[in-house]
Amino acid sequence: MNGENEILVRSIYYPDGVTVEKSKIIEFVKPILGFNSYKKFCILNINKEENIPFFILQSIEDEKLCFIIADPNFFFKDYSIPILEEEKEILCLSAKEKAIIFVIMTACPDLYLSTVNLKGPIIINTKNNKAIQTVLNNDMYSAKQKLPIVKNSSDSRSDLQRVSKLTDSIGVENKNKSDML
Amino acid sequence: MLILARKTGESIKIGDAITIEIISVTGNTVRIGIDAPKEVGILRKELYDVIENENVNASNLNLDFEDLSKLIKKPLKK
Repeated sequence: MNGENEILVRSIYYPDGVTVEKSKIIEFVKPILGFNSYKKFCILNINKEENIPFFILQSIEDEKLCFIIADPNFFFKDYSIPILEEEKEILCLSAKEKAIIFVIMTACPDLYLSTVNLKGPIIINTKNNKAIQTVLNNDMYSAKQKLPIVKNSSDSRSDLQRVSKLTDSIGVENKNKSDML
Repeated sequence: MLILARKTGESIKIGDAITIEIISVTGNTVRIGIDAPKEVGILRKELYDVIENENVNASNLNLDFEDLSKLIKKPLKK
């Protein structure tokens, strides 16, 4: 079961552990701010059956540390971030390569009150699994951005449902986000 | 906290790889030049604090798996 190429990752969401291929382990070459000693993470699905824009960024080193991350372009079509030259260098991201961008969600039981951090997105180079959290030095985006959904009322459809109909090809497999520089 | 006084043009070394130079001083504003490896992030502290704070908030999840699945499934029901 545990081949040489796999490790068992424990998570508060998967207490029995999830087998993860070593080749899928993400390494933060510049740490998530405030979490300097946590370098290795993996991305886990929340729900295997549906194509949803949320995932779990799980620390390999501490089963209690994980973040809910979201695909920002699912909610904010025009969200694009510059990747600085030195960031490309530490990610070993060449001009032709694409990186994927995730944003960290501060989740509340009420999705309407949950926010995503558009000011400090995570950039992952899918070729080598190097990652950083970059910080945007402008006022364009908020660290506490609400999602574009209406407050749930029992008989109205939420904006999120409408968005999901328009973008129903977005799913776990859609990892080809280009860097916008 | 170590406090040093430097004049314009003078520098400080932190460890082997980080150098800080006082470029100019105008009134209350100091222009500071920083030389550091790419892996070392350099940010205005206010900005660092905003992001770090939000990261810590985000990591303090008080949702269990069922809550989380429900939370995420609900708005996406077709």
